[in-house]
Amino acid sequence: MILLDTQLLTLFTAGALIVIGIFAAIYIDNIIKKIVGLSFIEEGVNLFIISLGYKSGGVIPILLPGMNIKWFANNSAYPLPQALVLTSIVIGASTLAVMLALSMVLYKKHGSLSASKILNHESDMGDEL
Amino acid sequence: MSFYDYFLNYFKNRFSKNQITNENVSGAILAELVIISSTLIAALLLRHISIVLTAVVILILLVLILSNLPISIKFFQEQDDSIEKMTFYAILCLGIIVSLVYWGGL
Amino acid sequence: MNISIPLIVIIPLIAALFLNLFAGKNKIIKVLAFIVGLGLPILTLTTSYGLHYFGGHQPLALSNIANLSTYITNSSLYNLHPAITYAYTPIAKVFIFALGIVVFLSIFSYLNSENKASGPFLFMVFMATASVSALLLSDDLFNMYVFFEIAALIQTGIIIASSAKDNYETALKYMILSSIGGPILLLGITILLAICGSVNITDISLAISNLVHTPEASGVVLFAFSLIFFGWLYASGLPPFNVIKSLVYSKAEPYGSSVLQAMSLISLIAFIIAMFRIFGTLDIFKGVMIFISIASMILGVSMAAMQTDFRRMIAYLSVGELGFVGLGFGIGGNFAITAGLFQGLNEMIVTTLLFIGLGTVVYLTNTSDTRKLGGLIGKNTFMAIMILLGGLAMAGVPPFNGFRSKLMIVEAALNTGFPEIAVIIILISIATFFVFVKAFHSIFLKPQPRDLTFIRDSIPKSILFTVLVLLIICLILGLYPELVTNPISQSIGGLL
Repeated sequence: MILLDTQLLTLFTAGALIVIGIFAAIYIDNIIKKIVGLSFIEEGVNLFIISLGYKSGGVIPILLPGMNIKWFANNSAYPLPQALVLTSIVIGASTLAVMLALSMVLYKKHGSLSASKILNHESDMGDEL
Repeated sequence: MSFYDYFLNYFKNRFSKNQITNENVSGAILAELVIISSTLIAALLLRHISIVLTAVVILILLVLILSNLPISIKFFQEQDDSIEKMTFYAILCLGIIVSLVYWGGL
Repeated sequence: MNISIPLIVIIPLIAALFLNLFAGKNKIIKVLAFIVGLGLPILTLTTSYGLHYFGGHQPLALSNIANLSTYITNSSLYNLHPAITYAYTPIAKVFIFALGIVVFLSIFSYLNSENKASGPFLFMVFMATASVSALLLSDDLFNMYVFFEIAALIQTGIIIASSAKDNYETALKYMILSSIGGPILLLGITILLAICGSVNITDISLAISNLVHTPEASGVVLFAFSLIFFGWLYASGLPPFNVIKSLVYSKAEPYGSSVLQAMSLISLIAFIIAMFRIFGTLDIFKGVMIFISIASMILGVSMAAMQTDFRRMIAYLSVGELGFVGLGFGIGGNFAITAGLFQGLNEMIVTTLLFIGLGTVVYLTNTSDTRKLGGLIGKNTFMAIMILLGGLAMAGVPPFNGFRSKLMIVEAALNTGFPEIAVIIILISIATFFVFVKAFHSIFLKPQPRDLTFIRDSIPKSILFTVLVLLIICLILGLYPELVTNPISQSIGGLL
């Protein structure tokens, strides 16, 4: 007997990941750490999607020979979120790759990974006026 | 002292080391007037919800505007290209939108 | 089934792949880019309206299967859209055609002003065309999200491809904000999936119209709305993302900026239509739209007034003008929405004109700082006059298109009992005019500074031609607005 609902726990974890990611986006200065934090938001959302398709005691959504259709309809997991989350993971990975590549270029250019040093340019008017 | 002189002095105090052209000052004055007038007129739209609310909001806006007067320059400094300010305002806006829409629409 | 609907997305995708493949061969990519660029608007015009179901999986209701039992025909499964659906509506036709024109003219002026065309840059431009066309066509929220993320990556790529100072920093900033905005949008879409069981907009809007009146579900619907709304703000560059969008526009090359602003505008329109279809019945929808549109207009024009870099000035103006589209939806009704969308179209064309036209200033002098420029009217008077007319079109001076659409929005605002909005629109238009005249004066009219050096002597003829074509389009739309307003209002009539 499972005392706590698995789906509910997963949803809470997803929410926690998103909140941690948002905190990281604001408070962390190191760019690599910031990017890791930002990918937490992405992963939290992915976890949220995948937990939607969860069904306690469910079966994989493939109709095998000999299965009762009514039983299958009641017990199979919802397959759409699983299909969606794959695409979402791929997108997240490519975004992550581009961000890390950019931070490599910037590290070579500035010799620092601190966001406040390399990503903070004063606007033109404050600079030169 | 006229409004223009006040503006010019504020500019000079803040950016004294560099040149100021009249175009910068006129642009800043335009921005100032646009922000003040449009915000006050936009606040009038609240009369569709409640007239008392409109009056209260306009009074609050007036106090806020008068106490931060060269408002365009303060806006300009907040609308900075730095990532810290941009992420901060993005998250702040997310919070405001979610709470406003959620509790405002219920 | 209409096979040429997916071709609108597939052809630029394939062209992009080939352009990247032949990146070293200058002649081939120039010819290929020119042909595909010219072919896309023609394809858009010849395609007939309709729906396309990927894989042919249409809803059961359309399949005409005889003797289905009533427990299927009565359930919501009967009308569910199992496939990704592309809908080619008059709105999609108008905007994809305009996008095709913008992309073709940008490529045309790029190919003629650069000796060596860059394959990766053209790859990016065609990927951009494909992704935003798919955004407009798609009737599936998750599909929209995928193309939205592709568009975000492409925008980063276009900035990286430019030679401006600090372009890598800007690209990383844009990516960081995109990885906040993107997942939040996805979260909103997922919540809709959780409560409706589908990501098809037609299915969701049907389900939401029933759910929104039940007290248990309305909170969830509102929460999903707020998250998607935030994602939309990021996609279109409305506040608080106006700073990063204007920075992005000003860091790209002029041909890149014109494509970038067209991308933002079309993402704005695609998502606002989707939101309107799903959440249009919510009471708070109009209020939020009006609020954010006015904020965008005020911030855009006032920040533009304080810039010294003219590319940033145009960028802020174009971000601010986006508010008019939102205002149309905020006021509500067929006339107002048509006016808003018409203004969006006009803005796309006028901003392209200004970015490409003022790009010649950078082309000649390699600076965009208005304090270092002056007296350029002596260099090419014809171009200066065309840019002035373009600026007048943006500010809303008759007989140009901007005047027609702004007048329509003012009319709609007055008719629906929002005179304040009409006043604000007029104020913002005057301020836009001021900002533009200020920029024009400091670039073209004021005495030429002694230390201004020219790196090139003359403007390519192709850019003059491009700007002239765009100006003629502005004039035609100003004189015959029915060309676009009729199809748009026909589409909107179907949505209301």
